[in-house]
This record gives sequence, C-alpha cells and structure tokens, in this order.
Amino acid sequence: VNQGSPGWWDELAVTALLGTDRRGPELGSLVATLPGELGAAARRLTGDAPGVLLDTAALAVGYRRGGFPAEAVTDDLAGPPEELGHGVTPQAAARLREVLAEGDLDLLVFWCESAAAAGKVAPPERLPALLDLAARQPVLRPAVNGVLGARGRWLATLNPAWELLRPPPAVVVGDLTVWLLGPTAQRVAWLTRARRDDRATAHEALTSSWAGEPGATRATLIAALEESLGPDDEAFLEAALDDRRKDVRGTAADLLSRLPSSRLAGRMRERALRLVRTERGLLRSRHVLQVPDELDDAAARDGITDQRPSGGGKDGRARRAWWVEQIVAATPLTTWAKLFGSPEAAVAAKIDGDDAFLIGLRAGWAWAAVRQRDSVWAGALLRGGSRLRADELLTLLEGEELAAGFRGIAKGLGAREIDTVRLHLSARPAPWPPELGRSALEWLLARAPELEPRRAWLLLTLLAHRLPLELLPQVRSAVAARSIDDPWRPALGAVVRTMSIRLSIHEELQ
Amino acid sequence: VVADRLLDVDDRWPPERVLALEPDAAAAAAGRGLASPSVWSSAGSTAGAVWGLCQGSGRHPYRTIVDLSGPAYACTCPSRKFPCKHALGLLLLWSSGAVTAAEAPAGFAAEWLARRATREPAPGATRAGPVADPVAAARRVEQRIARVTAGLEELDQWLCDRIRTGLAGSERTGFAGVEQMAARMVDAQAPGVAARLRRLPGVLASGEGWHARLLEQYALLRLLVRAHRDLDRLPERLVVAVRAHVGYPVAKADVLAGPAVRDTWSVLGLRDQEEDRLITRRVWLLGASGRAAVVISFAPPGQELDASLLPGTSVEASLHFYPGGSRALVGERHGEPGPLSAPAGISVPGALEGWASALAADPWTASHPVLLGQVAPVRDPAGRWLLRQPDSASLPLARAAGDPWTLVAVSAGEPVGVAGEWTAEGFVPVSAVRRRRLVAL
Repeated sequence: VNQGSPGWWDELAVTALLGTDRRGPELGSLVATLPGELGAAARRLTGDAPGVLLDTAALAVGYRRGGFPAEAVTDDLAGPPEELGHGVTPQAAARLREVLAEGDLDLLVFWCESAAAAGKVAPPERLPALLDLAARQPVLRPAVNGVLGARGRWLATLNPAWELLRPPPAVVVGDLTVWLLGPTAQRVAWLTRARRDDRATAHEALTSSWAGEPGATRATLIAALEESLGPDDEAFLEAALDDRRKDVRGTAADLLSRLPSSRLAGRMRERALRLVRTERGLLRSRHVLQVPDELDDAAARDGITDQRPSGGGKDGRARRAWWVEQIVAATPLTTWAKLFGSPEAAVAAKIDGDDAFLIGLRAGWAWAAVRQRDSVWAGALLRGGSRLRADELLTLLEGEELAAGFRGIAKGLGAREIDTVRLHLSARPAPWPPELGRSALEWLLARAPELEPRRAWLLLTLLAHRLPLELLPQVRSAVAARSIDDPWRPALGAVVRTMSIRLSIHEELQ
Repeated sequence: VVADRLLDVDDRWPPERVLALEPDAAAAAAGRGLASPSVWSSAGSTAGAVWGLCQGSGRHPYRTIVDLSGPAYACTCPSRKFPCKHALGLLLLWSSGAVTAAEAPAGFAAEWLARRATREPAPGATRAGPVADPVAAARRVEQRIARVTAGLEELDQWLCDRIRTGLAGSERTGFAGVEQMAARMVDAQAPGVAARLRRLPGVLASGEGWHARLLEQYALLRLLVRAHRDLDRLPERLVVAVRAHVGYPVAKADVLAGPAVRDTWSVLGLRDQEEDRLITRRVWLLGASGRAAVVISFAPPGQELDASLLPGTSVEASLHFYPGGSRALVGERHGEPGPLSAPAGISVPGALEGWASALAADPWTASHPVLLGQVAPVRDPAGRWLLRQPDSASLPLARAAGDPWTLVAVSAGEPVGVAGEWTAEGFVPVSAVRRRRLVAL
C-alpha cells in the first residue's frame, strides 16, 4: 500500500503508460524477472502483447494485495499524563454531541463551564471537535480549556492546527535566560509572572535592560505593567513619560492615572480643580465649568492630546471638550466626592457651562470610574441614566447594584431601542445575578405590547442563554399568562425551551 | 391493571434507542424539544404503534404515527427527514411513559397502520415464488449471458487498445471514451462493470502514481472479462463472485431463502454515503463466532433508511449472506437488541490472512470488514498513520481517511478495538471499541 512498490511492478506500469506499441519488445524480458509463482504463472501466458501485459498485471495485483505484509513499527505515541478530572455520564456525553452538532456555541460554553465547575472533563471522542472549534473561535478558548483535561491538552500537542490550545510554556522566574534571550511574548509572560512572585527581580530586570530595548518592545513591555500595577511602579512610569516613543508615553500616562497616589494624578487633580469653579452664593453654591483656550507643555507631557485617537472634531470646542474628558479621567474620583459631597450629588449637580464640555466632564467621570475600578461611581453614573462607557461600568457591579445600574440606563429606552438594551446586556457575560435577569425580563415584558416578537428575537436568544436558571419558573408563568394566539407565547416558549436544556445540562453534570 | 402497566413499561424503548433512530444529532435535539406533553394532543399507543397530534405553527396540527415494528413513520409535516422531529418527539414522550396506552389506534392512525400491515410482509417471510414459465425463464437467462458476453468482448478490445497506445493517452484525451463504454456495458446488462468504469476518472485524477493505479483497475477488468469467458470451467465460489461483479441480479428473496446464520451480532458501525443521488447505508456486524458481515441498504435522500441496527448494541438474529462475500441481509430476529457483547477482535496478521482468503474467493473484492482487537494509532516519522498492536505488527491507515484524531483521543496511546475495513489503499476505521463502549469515528 504505502511501502513503495517493487521495481518490476513499476516497470510494468511504465510499459502500460507508454503503450505496448512502443515498449512491447521489453515485455518479455520484464516477465522473465517476475518473482516466484507470480513469474511462473506469467510465463505461461500467451497472446498479443497488450493482453499479456493486462493478464500479468492482474496476476500481480492479486499477488501484491493478497501478500500484503504487516509492517513492524517501532514508533510509539507517548500517552497523556494521568487524568485528574472525572468523566461525564453517558447522558451528559450525548448532550454534548447534540450541542456540537447543532452548533449552538452559547450552549456549548454553558456545557463546558458547568462541567468544569463540577470538576469534569469532556469525553475523549469529542475532544477533536472541541479543539477545532476553539482553535477557530478565540471566545470559546477559556471554556474549552476548562474541560480538555490531561488528555485534551496532550492531544493539542499532536496537531499544529491546535497550537493555540497548548498550555503556554511554564515560566520559571529564577531562570533569567527567557528574559534575556527569549522572544517578546515569552519575555512578557516572564515579566508578568515575576511581577507577581518576585517584584524586586522583575523591577531590576526591567530597569536594567530598558534603555537598550527597541521602541516596539518598550511599548509591549510597558503595557504588560497593567497587570499587578502598584504604587511602586510610579517612578519607572513617571520617567517613561519622557520616552522618545509616543505610544510608550501614552501607556505610561494611562497607567499612572490609575494610581490615585501618583504625582501625575496629583497634577491632574490641580488641572481639574481649575476647570470647575465653585461660586458660593447666599443660599446655595453654584458650579461653573470653564475650559482654558490653551494647555501648557506640562499637560502634554502628562499625556493630554489634542484629538481623540478615534478622530473626531478638530475645532477648538471639540479639542477643549476632549481635554476636559482626559483631565477628569486621570483625576482621582475622591476629588469630586469632596467637591460635591458624594458621587450621587456630583452626578445630579447642576453645573453651568458649555454642553460639549459638560459631556466631556461626564465622559471623564465614567472613564475614571473604569480606570480606578470604582463601583460606587459606576453605580451612581448608571443610575443617573448616563450611558457613557456603560458596558465597562456594568462590569464593575454585582447583584442588586448591577440591576439598579441596568435599570438606570434602560428606563429611558423605549421599545424601539431594544437593540441598544441588548448590546448593553450582552456586554455582561454569564452568569448573571438573578437581580439583573429579573430587571432585564421586566424591561422586555413591559415593552412587549409595542413590540413584535421577531424584532425581539436577538434579545430573547440572549435572555434564553444568560438568564439565571432560578428564573425559569418566572419565564414559564410569563408564557402561561399569554393566550394561545398571542405571538409572544411561542417566542417566550422558545426561551423556556433553551433554559430547560440548560437546566438539563446542569443536572446531567452534577 | 397493574400487570398491564408493568408490561407496558417493559415494552417501551429506552430514550437511547429512540435517539439512535436519528443519527443527526441536531434533529435529535429538535425532537427532544417536542417531547413535552403540552405540544401533543390525542396521543396514544398500542403494543405496535404510537400516534398523536402535534400543534405546529400552522392552523392544523400535524398527524404523527409511528409503526414500532419497522420502525416506520408517517407525519403530515412538510419535513423530508425520516424520522421527522415530530415522530422523534412523540417516541421520546412515549419512551418517558407520558403516552397513554389504548386498546386500538385512533381513527387517523388506524388507516395508515392497517395499510402497512397488509402491504409489508415480515422480513424473512418472502420466498421466491414458483417460476411462471420455466422454459421462457431459461431463455431469458441464455439471452442475458449472450448479451453480457458480447459486451465484455468489446470491453476487452477497448482495454487492449488503451494498453497498446499507452495510458499516457488517457491523460491527454481525458475520459470521454469511458462514459461511452460504461453506457455500452449498461446496454449489455453488465451494470457492475459499468460502475467500475465510471470510477476510473477518479483514479486518473488521483495524483502521483495514477498510471499504476489505473493499470490495476484495467487489470481487474481484464480479469473479469477472462473469468466470464471461462465461467463453466471455474469453481463454484469464483462463478458466484464473477456473476456478482458483472452485475447479474441477485434477488433479495433468493438471498433470504438461502441458509440462515444465527448468531449474536454486535453492531460495530454505521456509515451513510451519498452516491449517484442515492444514500448508501453500511452497517458492520460481527458475530460471536467471529464472522463479519456488512448490511447495505439504499434510499434516495430524504427517504427513511433501515434504522433497525443500532451501533453499540448486540442483537441475536439470523443473517442470510449474499453468495461469496460478507454482504448479508437480516432475516429473523430473536429478541430485542441488548448492550454490546464483548466482540472478540483479531490480530493484524489474522486480518491480513482473512483478507488473503477473501481475495482468493473473490479477487475483485475491494474491502474486508475487520475488528482489530488491540491496536493503537501511531504516527511514523514520515507523518503516516498506522494501527499498531503491542507486538509492533502494524497496518497503515488509508490516506483518504484523514488524520484519525478521534481515534487518537479515544486510544491516547493505549490499545483499543478498532472496527473498519481493510482495503487496497489501507485501513479505513469506522468505530473504536473501548471497555465495551463503541465510539463512532
């Protein structure tokens, strides 16, 4: 089959290729070379050359096929290390097969996460399909990684197509060769790990090689400081504000603005307080937002730019609004709580000023809340109805706080803005706290009278996959409350069906 | 009443058996979605049938009926799948015990069930009827042999011409002549030869070494011509093989009338393949005695295929073999399918010995069903996959079968049972057997 063919067979095939008209005379001597019983039988053949060739070939086919020898192979496939995860039940395995065949990636992620949470691994026969999918779709990788087990990780090492699913090489902080000689990706992995385990060594390694690094590498390395950023990074970052390269300077300013105790944050606070002036009146004070026409070079050094990276207006007003946003975004949020009394008071405060600048102020607050991971501000901004950076702010909240934040942005949105609501919700990965699920469901049901179910299809699908399972009875009763001919009955029924499948998946994996 | 209910429970199929009716997992999932009492009305069951009305999106409910003896399905939905999701949902509902037993089928189901009962005799019951006019029949056989002989002589001339001028010519002129020759073979009542000819263009396009592979095919055709010429002088088993490959018809009834091989058959694999607008389903069986069998059924796309043999189960049944090979028909069944009994595999040398004997009985045979007992997939330095048994005797996998990742995942370096077919191009794996569990590959 694959072991190469004997010379006489190749000769026979070449003779057939060129034709007996040209190669006929050689046929006799060829037949004389055939081995053993095959040769003996072939030599007894009579007739014209094409017939003899075909008959010889027929004998040879039987001779070679029937006499196919087993190969002796010494190669071995060293198997995987011992599996620590548990296998799943036949029901759960059958379910995974169905989910894969249907191509419902949300259910697939749910299956994987439920299995991983229960300490189980995917059945061996589904590993290739899971690896194929995860190699193509990065969003699936974390979930699939959780159920690969020792066997799946081993399998990934055998196929180049699954390279991205292989575990990254282990980082040994004590071994500086990776840092000194490795490719950039491995150096970043080393640095990140070292900053967690041995900060002094990491700091020493970075500062000693920094000046000699090419610009692009400096940009990559400094961005890696985002993870486990701490006040002890300030001196290094402050120096990097004077780097030759623009993106290094920008990253340094961005990281410093996440450190409320940094000197940069202090400088920004001063700039910010010059923007908002408080005029004390007899009965109450008045806040006025005023933006200068020019900024000094020090502001530019601290990373303030004249134009949004995404482009946008270049005229004076747009530029100055962008200044406001950047300055406020880099200012510690405590500044405003002190000035206005509380985050809620700041959000509700009546401030005089140009509308564009006021939007810049609010956008700056939202950005600052994201950078400083401030959930109190996030809640206050969302409850106030601001949708600036709402998706990022929602990730900072949990439980009832999260639900209240969602209600804050959704209360002003009508049935026609259903896609906006859906996008905000889809930014929040599963699992959803029940309070968020309830609020999302209530929003949809309240607007159902003005909506056709097919317009709500994407939101319904999202709810079906993300609503916590404890809300299943509520969705069921929402279905039961509808009359038979109400188009919302089958639409909500589909949500119940998907949630029931999720419930079964969950139960099958316990 | 209690006894009745118990009996009723015993007669119901487990959900796995219902789901196995639908190899397409997506459709199975759709069926599960309909296995809820709320979507069904007037549902009922007897020992042999289940029926119900399913409220779909239309105004009228779909009428769904399942004849459990086939199983066979009827549904008024527009789906061309058999079983459709309604039939599957209904069966799952019934399987869960949520369908009430009835004395007799409901009105809408009774008619179809009655029609089926009269039309379809039980398998194995068919016998060749008496020949109406033996003289006329003998004359028809004579005429057919004469036609085939004339056709094959023409084919021989054509083959010799190709070899005289050289196969390189076929590469230049393509295969216009092949289709003409194939049509001639159909006229000459040699459909088996026509099918072989129609596979030749694929060989021509098979890349490096095509000329040697084409020569093999020409040689096998020539062998068929010569064997047919000497038919009266050949031993009986070769006559059977020649007739089968030329395409002399073999009536199902004649096969079923032949000797029955009763055994416990493990169902080791199932594969559907679309060819010439026809789905061919191959089911691989292995008897406790070690005899292997392949049950082949055909249906146009969208029509139901024989789903009575479920991979991963064992069933005690009488098989009737087509003359001279491993193809068989299922005759009488003795009991319900059970879990897979431990099928005994064979060694690599044993498989090759079996292949050699199969070739001796039928040199045109293309594949040989085998269960290798203890093999693990390994890759040699050239990147070629082989199945290796612990003593290092190995068989290469057919390149067309692709990388055997599922098998690698299941085996993980440990020997497992691998069912499949040994062919001239290498081994084509179909299923893996590990700890009595069957995994489709």
